[in-house]
Amino acid sequence: MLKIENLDVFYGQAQVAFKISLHIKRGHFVGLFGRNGSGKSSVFRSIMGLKPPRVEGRILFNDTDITAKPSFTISKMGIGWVPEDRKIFPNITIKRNLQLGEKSNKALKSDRLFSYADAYRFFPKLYEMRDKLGSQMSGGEQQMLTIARTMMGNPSLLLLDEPTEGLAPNIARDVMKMILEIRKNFNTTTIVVEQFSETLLKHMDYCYVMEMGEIIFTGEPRLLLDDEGLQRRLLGVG
Amino acid sequence: MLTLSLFLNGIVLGLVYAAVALGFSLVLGVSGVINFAHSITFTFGAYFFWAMYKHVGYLPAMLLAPAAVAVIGFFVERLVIRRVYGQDPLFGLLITLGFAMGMEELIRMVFGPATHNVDAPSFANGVIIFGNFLYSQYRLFIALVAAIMVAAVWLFTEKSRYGTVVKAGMFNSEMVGALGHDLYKMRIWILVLGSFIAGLAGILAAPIWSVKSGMGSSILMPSFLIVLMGGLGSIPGTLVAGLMVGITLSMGVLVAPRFVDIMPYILMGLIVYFWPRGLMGQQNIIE
Ligand SMILES: Nc1ncnc2c1ncn2[C@@H]1O[C@H](COP(=O)(O)OP(=O)(O)OP(=O)(O)O)[C@@H](O)[C@H]1O
Ligand SMILES: [Mg+2]
Repeated sequence: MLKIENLDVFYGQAQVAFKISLHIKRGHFVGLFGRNGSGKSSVFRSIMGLKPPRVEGRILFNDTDITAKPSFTISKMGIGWVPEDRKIFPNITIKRNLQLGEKSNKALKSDRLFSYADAYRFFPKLYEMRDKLGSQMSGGEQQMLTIARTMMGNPSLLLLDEPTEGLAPNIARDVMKMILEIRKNFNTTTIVVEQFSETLLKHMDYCYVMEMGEIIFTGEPRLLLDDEGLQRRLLGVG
Repeated sequence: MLTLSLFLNGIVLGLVYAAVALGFSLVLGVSGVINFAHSITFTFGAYFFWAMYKHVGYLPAMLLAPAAVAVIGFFVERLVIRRVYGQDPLFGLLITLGFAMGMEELIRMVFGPATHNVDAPSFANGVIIFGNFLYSQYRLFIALVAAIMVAAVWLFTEKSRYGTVVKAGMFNSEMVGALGHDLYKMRIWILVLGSFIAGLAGILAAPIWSVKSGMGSSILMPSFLIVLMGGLGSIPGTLVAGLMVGITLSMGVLVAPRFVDIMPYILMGLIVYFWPRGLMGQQNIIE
């Protein structure tokens, strides 16, 4: 479904990712782990066609070359991005935040579409708060809103950038539960970026680890689950 | 009575400023460009109107002239403004200012350096009498049309679906694009809309200020100040700031006639000192 071939990523003159290759199969749940600054978010930004950075190499989505296409085109083709730091719109209501996630092109093929009812069912808090402004939300609520907002566009590939970053452990657990729940219901192909998450890893089909802009590990989750040394390195305690 | 007249004049002036500043603010919000070429849309509106209103009639000209200005806005976006998207805001400011100065020269070449007069329309050519107070019907007409424009833009952003995209785009255009909305198209539409409104404002002002090539420059600074004072992208903020500037300029003559011109700047300095994001802004203009 998504194939990245020899991707180099640059901010100005500085290269931050080197010859990245990822191969994501339809329906899979994939992890992209790595410590701060290893280049995970830059890979997501590159997939979404956002500037900066500038990229070299090739990104294929369903066999179409999408490298450096405008982000709205990439989004319309079916890639949904939930950025780090949440990025809700604080100046409009929660309902309208969700509305912004809807796509105008109704060429969506899936038989089970994510609707407002789903957003409110998965995240009851959003229903309670639907007429409040985005600025009135807590961090956890904002995270739920960004996920629901992106799901409103019914992406066939979902990119989640550090969905539990900065959340209290119990809220982080809720968010992870929702991610797994949504996946169970919609079977959306999903890539999750985290520094490391054992909870999510246990449900994954495949995972990658980045360090200093390079992929240093590729393989089945159990290989990473067994490799405690690498885990410690990812969490910065080794 | 003089005080009341000046106060009302201030409101009328403020509404015209607010209408011009709205386009400025929306473009800055969704495109990140400080568009100093906005001033020429005001001038073009007045000139086009002057050139056609005797032939096609007052009200038709009030629609046709801004429509022509909107077309100019479209080409300005294509030829000039789109080149500076995503670049240092200073580039945009310089290139649009240069463009505006060039266009002002062009207007002088084509229409001549002389000042032209435009008559107020016959349906609003008299005075309104309240007891022993007289006020110009035409100024009330200006206030009405300008207020309708501001209200229409407000309704558009608050109530319409596309208005929501615009509002969100002012806050974070990258995110709006990544959700599948075509930013490039939105930027063009907003520029066209802003040009139409400023063109119409130029027409409204024409019978009072008369038509001259420098009329755009004289409204540029007040509207820029209003954007800073009101807060980027906030329509209520722009309206309040517009009225404050209008009333200050108009009533200032009662207090210190020699210092009127500098008063809006002092006002702006005070407001931005206490509210760095403007009265109702959610973001600083360069954030
Ligand atoms: N806009 C930018 N301009 C210049 N350099 C940048 C920019 N964004 C990121 N970088 C650099 O690129 C490198 C990779 O950053 P990136 O944000 O992709 O890492 P990350 O793995 O997502 O880290 P984190 O876990 O902190 O989110 C870092 O060295 C960072 O300093
Ligand atoms: Mg990151």
